[in-house]
Amino acid sequence: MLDIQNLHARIGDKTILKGLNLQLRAGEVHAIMGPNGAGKSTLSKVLAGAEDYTVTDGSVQFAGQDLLALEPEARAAAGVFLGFQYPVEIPGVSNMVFLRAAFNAQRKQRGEKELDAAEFLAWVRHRVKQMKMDPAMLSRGVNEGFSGGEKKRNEILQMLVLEPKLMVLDETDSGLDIDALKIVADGINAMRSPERATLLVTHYQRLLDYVQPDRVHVLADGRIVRSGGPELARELEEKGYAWLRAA
Amino acid sequence: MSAQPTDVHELIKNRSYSAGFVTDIDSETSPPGLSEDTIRFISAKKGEPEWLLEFRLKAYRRWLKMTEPTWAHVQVAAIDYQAISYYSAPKSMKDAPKSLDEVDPKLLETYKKLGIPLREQEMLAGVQPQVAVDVVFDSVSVGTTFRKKLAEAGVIFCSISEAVREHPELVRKYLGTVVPFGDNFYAALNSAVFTDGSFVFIPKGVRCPMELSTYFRINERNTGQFERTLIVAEEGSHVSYLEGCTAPQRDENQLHAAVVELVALDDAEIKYSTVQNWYPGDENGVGGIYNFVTKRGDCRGRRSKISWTQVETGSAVTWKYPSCILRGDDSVGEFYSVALTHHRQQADTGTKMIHVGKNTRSTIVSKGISAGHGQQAYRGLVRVLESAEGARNHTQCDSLLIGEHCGAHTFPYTEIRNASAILEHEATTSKIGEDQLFYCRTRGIGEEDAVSMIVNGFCKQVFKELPMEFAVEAQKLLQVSLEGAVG
Amino acid sequence: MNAAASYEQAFARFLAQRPAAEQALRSEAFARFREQGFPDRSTEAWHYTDLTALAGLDVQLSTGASADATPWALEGCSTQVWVNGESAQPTSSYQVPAGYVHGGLGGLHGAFARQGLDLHLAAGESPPQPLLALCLSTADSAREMHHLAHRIRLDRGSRAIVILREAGLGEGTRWITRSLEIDLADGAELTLLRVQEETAATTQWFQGTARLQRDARLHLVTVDLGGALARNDWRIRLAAPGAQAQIHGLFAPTGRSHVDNQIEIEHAAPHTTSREVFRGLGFERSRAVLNGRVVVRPGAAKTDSEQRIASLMLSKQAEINAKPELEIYADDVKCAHGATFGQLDRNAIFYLRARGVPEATARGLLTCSFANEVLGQIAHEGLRTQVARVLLQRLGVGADLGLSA
Repeated sequence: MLDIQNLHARIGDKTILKGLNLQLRAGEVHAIMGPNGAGKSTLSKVLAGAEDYTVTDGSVQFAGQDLLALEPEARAAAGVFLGFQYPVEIPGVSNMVFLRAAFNAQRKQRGEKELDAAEFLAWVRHRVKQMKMDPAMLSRGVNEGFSGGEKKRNEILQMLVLEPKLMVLDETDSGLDIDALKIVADGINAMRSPERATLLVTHYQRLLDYVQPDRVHVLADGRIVRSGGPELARELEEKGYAWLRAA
Repeated sequence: MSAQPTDVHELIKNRSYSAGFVTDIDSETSPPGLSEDTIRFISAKKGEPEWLLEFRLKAYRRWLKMTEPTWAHVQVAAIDYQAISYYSAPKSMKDAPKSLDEVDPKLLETYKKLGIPLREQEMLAGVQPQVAVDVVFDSVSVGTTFRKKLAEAGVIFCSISEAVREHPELVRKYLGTVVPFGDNFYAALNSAVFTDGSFVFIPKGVRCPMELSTYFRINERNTGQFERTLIVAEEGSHVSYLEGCTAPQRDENQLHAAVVELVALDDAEIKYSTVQNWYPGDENGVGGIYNFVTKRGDCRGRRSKISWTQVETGSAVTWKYPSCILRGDDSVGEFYSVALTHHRQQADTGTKMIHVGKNTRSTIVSKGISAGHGQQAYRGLVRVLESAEGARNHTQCDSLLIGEHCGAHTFPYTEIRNASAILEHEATTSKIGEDQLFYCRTRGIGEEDAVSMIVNGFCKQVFKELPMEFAVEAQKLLQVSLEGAVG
Repeated sequence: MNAAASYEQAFARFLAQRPAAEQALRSEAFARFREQGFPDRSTEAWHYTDLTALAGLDVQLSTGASADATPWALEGCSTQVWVNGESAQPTSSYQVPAGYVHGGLGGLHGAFARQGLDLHLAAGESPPQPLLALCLSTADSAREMHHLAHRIRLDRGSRAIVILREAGLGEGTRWITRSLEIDLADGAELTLLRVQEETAATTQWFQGTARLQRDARLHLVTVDLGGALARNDWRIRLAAPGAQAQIHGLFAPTGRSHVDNQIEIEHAAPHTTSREVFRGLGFERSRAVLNGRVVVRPGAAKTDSEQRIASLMLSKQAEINAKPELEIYADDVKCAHGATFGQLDRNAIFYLRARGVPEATARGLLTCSFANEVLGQIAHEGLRTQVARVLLQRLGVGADLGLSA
């Protein structure tokens, strides 16, 4: 589903990704771990199409398309979802307006029927319940005054509503207490299916106790330096990242 | 900070304006009054070329048709322009001294009292960094130090009268190109009657080897001072220029209407610092200097930079807006100001940043302190023209009030005609808190010192822009100026 | 400057129809106009706005007209309608409004104005419904003018919500002056929502004055959407301790429209509070001016004032001039102001795009979110939705994304 070849990217004058290779098949969950500054967030943002980053070399194929050629909104319509590490606050635009704008815009781009207000409300309601969120949040501004944990939960809610094919979750576990972590993990697991793939970008192994990955990759200095099964995450948890550099 | 209470009392009694002594010097002063004849007299006295006389006369004719601006937030007694003497020179200067050795010893003594060493050997002997000084006494320049060392670097630093004689092509090329002769009422008056001032020329690629400095002093009764300063920094050059001002204590108001023009070509940088300590008048508002000054810098070249730093503690009335025209792409303008008004002082001061070129940036930091019955206004303009793609400005404008009879006012104009502009303007007004003072006092710091400490903290952001020795002077000046403000 | 002959003629004809009791006052006002004329740009307060062209205009006073008010009616309000300054309902006796920012302009208004809304609530009264004063203008022929004066007096402890809605229809050029005098007695509370949607052929001058007594509260929401030239002068005086003024303003001129807001808040007593939040949007070739002035009089200790102005330029040809002034004559005060000009947050745009929202829509939504700081303060849902719809339309965003969802 996702095929990243020799990806190089920089922000400003600083090269961050230096030849990254990664393949992800439908139905799989991969975790990307690594020390701070390794390029984890850069990878997420490059996949979603953030303009601050320039891809200098390499390619990214997603479901047979050249992902890098697409605008951010076209990537979303094609099924790429980025769960932001720092979700943006948009005061004055309610979650409901935001979700419906996104949902219908994606459907329109895919040539599907748009939902009217009543149909969409029904679509959203039970997902809000699933995330154990207060339905009143729908009329509040997007992430406006939300705590860190509420913002992350809202990211997962958006993911449930938009039903993407590829979910890239950037440090979605950070800032969550244990109850919120379970809810978020349940949301992610609910989305697991043979048609979907998930890329969990995380610094800690914690989330992986609840969302079992198929593969774990270690990202350091802009490259994948090691790949393995779930046991690699536990090894990292015990030994930290320093031994990687020493090796 | 270590002053004993008795010292402070002494200071209030005797030293409230320490620069306020009169120098008893024979001087040659033109009779009061202004006419074309006065201008011809000044021009002839200085042996000026015809084009400069023409410039003066054009300015005078324009001035006659102009009226004094009234928009400033100040109250000024009517000025009788016919009662002012437009030219005053120490008599001993008549035969133009060839060097400082020929300068009237009383003059040298005056500057020594002001703390300005004029003799190179004195400075060389001292631990202070070398500063080249030009001194303007009433209407004429009385001497410039370190000329030889500067000449070796190709830097021209002399009085403007001398520049007119020695480098007429340079003066003619730049004079009046930043502040046109009819720019405003006082600039027109200055263009007509200016007597002396400094000229600085930094050639291509030269980093001026030392700080340049000019001291202005008004001495004679009933004279006005109309100095004219022109600084040109060629491509890639760099200069830091300091200006200091004093005047004796007199009961009548004296007019000071200067014009300063700065030109920075590609990659050039001019840093212009002022410590203005003209006589402010007494606590009842009698006497003091009217300081109506036009200062403007033209960032003509790409990546050029002009930075104004001013500490204004003197003058009865100040009307002054050092400005930057950011014409060159990527050019930078800065304005850092501390202005203090005490007793009956009034100040309407600020800056204009005119963004013309692409990606031009400006910063404004203004700190106003009002005490006694002082009235202070910040008036600033940030204008972003259609052509100024990517312009940025940050303005911070804080007022500190000491006592309930003073006033602090803020008039920030922003005129934006380019959608890509990003501007932030922040202003606050506060008073010195009783709790802050009390806290200091419980720690054993006297009230005057506590005020001075708090005020210095408030001004820190600006003081750090001043060259070291001036920062110290500025702090002292604030301390002396604030005496009697509390209690 | 002398007023053109057409004003003289219009006045002579108008005066002849008015009751004798009004004639002296009106003539006096007209004499002031005759003497001082229109303000020109040499006055600081008129630096950006030039009305002198009006002097040479061959104007005529609008005559009674009718218009369909239903498009502007609002649910749940008791409504009064004026068309071209005239009302079908009987109005109270006319008094020349006093105290104008410009004598000549005030004279013109005082000479010609008809009585508009005259709300007087007795102590403790509180009407159950908002009051809608709908002021419509129409012009069949060019250069018509009309003038209307409103008054709101709230006695001790009374409370009201008043909506002042000004809207235009028809093609003709027109010149309108309107005034509103507000007096709030001790503890009175007024919420005033003013929405101006005149046509692009309308020149309009508005002056609002308010005096607030002890613990009185004024919440003003002012929105300018229309007009060829719209100038609003507000003078709000916090005359006694505890008085509070809160202002939320939005200006969103489009086309070649020129909107000039001059708002002065005077803290004349200790322990008074003012808050101002302004949002400006510059569309197309429009020009906007905002001059917010806060004056703290001697002795007005513990004044607490804050002014926030933020503007977004949405077109290369637009121009916005902002000046948040402070004039302070007391030392124990807390006054702050801030003004920003800028662009939409790039992160927020990316966030929306990453969820599949096209860039233009994302920008539109974020702009509305920017304006919502003020829109959200419109305490009438129907009116809020209508204003939001106008904005969304200007931003090219489908109105079904209404902010009130």
